[in-house]
Amino acid sequence: MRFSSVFIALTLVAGLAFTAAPAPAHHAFSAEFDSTKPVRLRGKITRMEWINPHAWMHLEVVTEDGATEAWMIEAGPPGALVRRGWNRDSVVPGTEVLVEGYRALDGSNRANGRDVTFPDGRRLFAGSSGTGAPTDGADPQDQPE
Amino acid sequence: MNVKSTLAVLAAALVSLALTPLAGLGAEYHHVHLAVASPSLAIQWYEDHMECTPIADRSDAVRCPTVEITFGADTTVGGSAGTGVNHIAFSFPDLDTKMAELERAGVGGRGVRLQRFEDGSMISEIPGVFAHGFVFDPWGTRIELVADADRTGFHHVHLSATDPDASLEWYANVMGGERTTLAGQLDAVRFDNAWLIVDRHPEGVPASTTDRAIQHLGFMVSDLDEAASGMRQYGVGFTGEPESGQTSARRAYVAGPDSVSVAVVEPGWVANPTLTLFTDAGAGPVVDAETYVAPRTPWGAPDLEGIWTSNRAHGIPLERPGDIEEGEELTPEEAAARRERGTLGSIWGYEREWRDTTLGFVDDLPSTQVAMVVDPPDGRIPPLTAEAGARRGGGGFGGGGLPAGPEDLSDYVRCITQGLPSLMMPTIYNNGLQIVQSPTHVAITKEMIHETRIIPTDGSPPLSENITQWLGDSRGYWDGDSLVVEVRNFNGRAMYRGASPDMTLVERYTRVSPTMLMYEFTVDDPATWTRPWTAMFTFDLDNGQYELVEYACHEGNYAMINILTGARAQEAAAASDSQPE
Repeated sequence: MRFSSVFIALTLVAGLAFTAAPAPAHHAFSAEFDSTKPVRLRGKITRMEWINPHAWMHLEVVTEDGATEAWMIEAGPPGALVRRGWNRDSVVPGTEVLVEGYRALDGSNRANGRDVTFPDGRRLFAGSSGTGAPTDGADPQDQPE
Repeated sequence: MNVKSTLAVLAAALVSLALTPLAGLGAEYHHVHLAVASPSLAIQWYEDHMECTPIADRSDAVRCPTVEITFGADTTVGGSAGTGVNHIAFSFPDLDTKMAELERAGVGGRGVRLQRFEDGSMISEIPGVFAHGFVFDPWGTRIELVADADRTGFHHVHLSATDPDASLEWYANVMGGERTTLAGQLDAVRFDNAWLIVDRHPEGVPASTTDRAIQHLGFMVSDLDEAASGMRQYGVGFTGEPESGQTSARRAYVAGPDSVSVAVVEPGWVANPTLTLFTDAGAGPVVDAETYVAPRTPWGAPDLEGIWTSNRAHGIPLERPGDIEEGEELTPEEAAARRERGTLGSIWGYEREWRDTTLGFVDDLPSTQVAMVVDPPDGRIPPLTAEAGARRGGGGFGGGGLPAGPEDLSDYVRCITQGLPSLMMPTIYNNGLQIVQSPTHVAITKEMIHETRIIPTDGSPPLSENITQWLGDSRGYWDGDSLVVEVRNFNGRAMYRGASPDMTLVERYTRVSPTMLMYEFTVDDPATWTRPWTAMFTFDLDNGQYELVEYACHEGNYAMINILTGARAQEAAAASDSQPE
């Protein structure tokens, strides 16, 4: 595919540009997260890190047996989040949210966020790594292949 | 505008004069002028979402339907909110349906940003008046939508004033509207085709409309000279000599209350094709390098300052693909399809919202350029030298194995540098590039990954060849309208496409239109390529929408943790799979 080679050329340095394998591309989804492990987490926001290259939302999740777990959710770059309608008032600590995303490869309580649903029903796109995340049909504009 | 419609407008103005006993100039409310990234895209947006209609022969305005919205390709330092003209309003008979439609349009691309009320709802009732809601256009103009059965289409201009009563008095007296109330509740000035409503500015003094999304309000008079003498009675004078406008026969400006710029125009518009800066396709400014002269800084250098993005260049391959003939351009449709493939295909995987919000919220028509390489003219990088071929055989990391530690990951993932010229290239997000100039230096910052180059342009001598750096040693000078930067003294650790540390990179930055910066770079490395080669792409000015955000590059590099712990987890899984039961 024409674009593969361009993308690699633009983002990888030196020796990598000569290889065909796009293995450790910048923040590649597949190097960090497992597309076969979707998660749905309901919890309270405890902290929002508005940082580049990715914002991180910290959550206190209550599990089915009543225990609490701390989770970290990777979101997009701050500039893009603002353009998607996020702002500091939309992620106030204490807000109860539903996060849909994909769990970290190492099985820890970290996930790549895809969508965040707020108490009033608003759903904001969190999409973080633009590289290799699965097309899972959640995008209403996705066109069938 | 043809003679007939000019006469019609004139007649309308005269009718309004004759029928309504107005004070002051008896002016007709005429237009609102907005600063946008691209007038043709703005015409499309207001046609799609506010039910305005394009005007024949005009590439800079829509009619909505009694008031014109005119567009200028201008940069802004902020939206309309906070200035003396907080927003403009349109009325739709079925507000619920309209707001639902705008919500569906979504924020993506040149979409619609909703501004919800505190309880999360899109619509709120002003008791006894009407229901209303708020959105933003993609260029920062705040828009109120109201359900006023008495007037659909353009409804009102909403002022924010330090002294609301004095402000309304001014418009009523000087321009000649009627002091009244809207629905018996809101203090207003009524013109035949629109209302002016005013709120008290919440705190301090409203910002000037200069350099903001709503740039001025326009009123029409039949004779500008008569208007000038009329205004003198009120102590109001033009801020400059009347000029012949592109959108009116003649126009002049006055300073309204709270630093609101007000244009007074005579009817009649003479189309002047030589002034048309934008193509119908909205593909950006038409570059006429012959006639365009870049603005100068106060000390006389070409002014390249601002925030630029290469979003539209994203997806241009470095080399011309084999299936496209030399010298061809893509059609806009082909360019759009190329970006669809590039952003939605296997590399990206994410959906449109990712692309729209990270690549080109403002002006997302992709470039039609076939390849970045412009020399050699065939669009292909020249062959490698034998020496480079041997070096390449040595390989490097990238065999596809799992990284044992940070050293095995690229300088980019490690947040060290992208190297040059890679850091100048369009990236998948955080694509903003800010240029700041002084008489002796030019500073260039790229948001991804927070890299700053400070380039002397004062003729100071280059570093000794014994001193090498990751990004080499950049030295700039001005050549006509262009900034030329020569880069040498690379340390060899972040070399572009396997070049040797002896590479010389020559960059040329040329502002080719008010909103476009052409970036060319020439790579000269006889140890690697059989001849020098040059690539080119363009940046678009995006001062109004784009803000560079600082990086938490190391403390925030959770990706490094995830990649390394992920690699260990994969190894553990592989090891347990190979254990006998």
